[in-house]
Amino acid sequence: MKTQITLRLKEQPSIPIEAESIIPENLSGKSLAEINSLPLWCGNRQEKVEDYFTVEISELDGDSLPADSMPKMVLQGNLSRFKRLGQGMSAGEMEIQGSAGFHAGALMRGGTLVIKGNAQDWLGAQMEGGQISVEGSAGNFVGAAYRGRTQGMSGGTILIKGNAGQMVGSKMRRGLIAVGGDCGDVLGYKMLAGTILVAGRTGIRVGANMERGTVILLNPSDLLPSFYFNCCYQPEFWRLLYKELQSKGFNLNQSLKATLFKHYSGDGNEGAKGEVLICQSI
Amino acid sequence: MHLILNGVEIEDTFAEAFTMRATRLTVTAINEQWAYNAALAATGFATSVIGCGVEAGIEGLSPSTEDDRVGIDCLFFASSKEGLEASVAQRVGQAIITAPTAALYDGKLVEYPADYDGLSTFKVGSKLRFFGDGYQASKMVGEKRYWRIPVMGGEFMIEDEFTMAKAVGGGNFLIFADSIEAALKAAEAAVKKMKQIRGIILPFPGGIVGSGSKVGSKYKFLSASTNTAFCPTVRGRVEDSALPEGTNAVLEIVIDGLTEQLVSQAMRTGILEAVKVPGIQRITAGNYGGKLGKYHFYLHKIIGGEI
Repeated sequence: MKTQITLRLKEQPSIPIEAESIIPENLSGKSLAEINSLPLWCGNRQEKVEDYFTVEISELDGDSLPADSMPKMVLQGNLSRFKRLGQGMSAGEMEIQGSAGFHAGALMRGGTLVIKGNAQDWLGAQMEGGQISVEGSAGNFVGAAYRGRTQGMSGGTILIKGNAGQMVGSKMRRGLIAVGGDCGDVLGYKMLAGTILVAGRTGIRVGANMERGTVILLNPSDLLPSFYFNCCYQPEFWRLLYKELQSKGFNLNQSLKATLFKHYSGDGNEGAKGEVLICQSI
Repeated sequence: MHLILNGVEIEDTFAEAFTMRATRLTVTAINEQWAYNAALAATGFATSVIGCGVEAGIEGLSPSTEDDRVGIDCLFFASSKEGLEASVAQRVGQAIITAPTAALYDGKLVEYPADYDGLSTFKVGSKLRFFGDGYQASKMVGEKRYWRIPVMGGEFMIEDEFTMAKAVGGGNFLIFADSIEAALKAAEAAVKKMKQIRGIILPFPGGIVGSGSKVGSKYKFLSASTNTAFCPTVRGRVEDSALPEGTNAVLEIVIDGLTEQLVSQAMRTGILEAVKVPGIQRITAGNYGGKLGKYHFYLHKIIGGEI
């Protein structure tokens, strides 16, 4: 029978905590005492999981779950002061029943991270695989490259039901980002490949300096003059992407399945191999 | 041992079939007519690997498609991996890319268990992407890669990788009749029933072979020639004629299938249907003495449901 490890927040830290040790593979196979003593950095002071959380290990119902599979991790409470939750995780399931701090799911390689509340900046930055689902909103630099790095997200999926901040998917190399609400300026800045979908409104300079990749906008947006209008059409891959999003729980209006898009190529300053598709039905 | 069905003798012999490589292509389009047009062109002139390099046929409507448009499934069989790859690329390039609104996806081969060691994959989309002349783009959706090629009608979409499997080609049976009308009526009835089985194709025109061939010829430049042993108009002239007196026409049905069981099922279905037609005298099968093909489909065992 599969187990669940629940970490219930008992005390808000006075300053942000570096919590990259809290990932499924790090907790898997450990006893309660071992989990309680996992390190958390609070400024220059090393503290323990038990200083902030009440840990509970329980068994999950369901015969279909193999006993040797990775335990499901559930974190409860407002964890917006806990940074790097799920950072670098490569397998397993982690659910945050509240909000998460900076860098949640950054460098992630596999598994699923569900954030029931909001996420702050650098959500899924440079992630390589797996899936992040945010039921609230996210901050700036979703799936982006860290300063000095040439490539951002290079695989996996980030689904945000609410809004997202600025520079979503900056230098993104592969993967999918979908934002159900609005997002800030410079969406897909210097994008190298991959797909970004925004269902709401966008800020200015969409796709600035993008080299390749696809930005799909379900609401009208003004584009930079370095984007060239090509035609109106129904891309076949959109049907596949629509199905993929539906299957991952990112629901879009049924009428959008066979919608027309205005197709633009850009950024002309970077060879115009990227594309922006703007939905014509809304 | 004599086996008589509905007054028709089922000869105690076997059909000899070979290992082939097979793949399923799912062609989708804006409507059934255009999916069919593309599928028909792609599977045309694909009756025999000897002269066409590939044997292909339309299975029917796809139960589901990746883009949720109407789709038609086609099966392709070739003698080797390389032969299948080359033929599929050529036919997709000439017949499916050129069909308005068409898109092409791997039809998968669900007939095999996932751990079947005869399964492999081969590239199709990435070979054909160069038609885009540098304007092609790939798109990952989930774990799969697709290629988008700009075409005059908009964009041609094709999956990068297709599934290939070791399959069975060359299952067959022959229908002896007292007239060509009776032989054709029986063969047509058999084909109609056999086409309801998924996982098989009947690659010849209308599913029926009107001129079977034998290996070799009196002419050095020909590797195959008419199957004189089954030709009624030379029955009295050839020494090895297989036809009894009163047989005035023979037609053959050739079956390629994904598995031995599917070929066997199709043969059984076809034979049981053919013997219902008046004028049918005998059912037999073609083989090479059992020395060439890996699969031997014994008619009596098939009718008895043993295979």
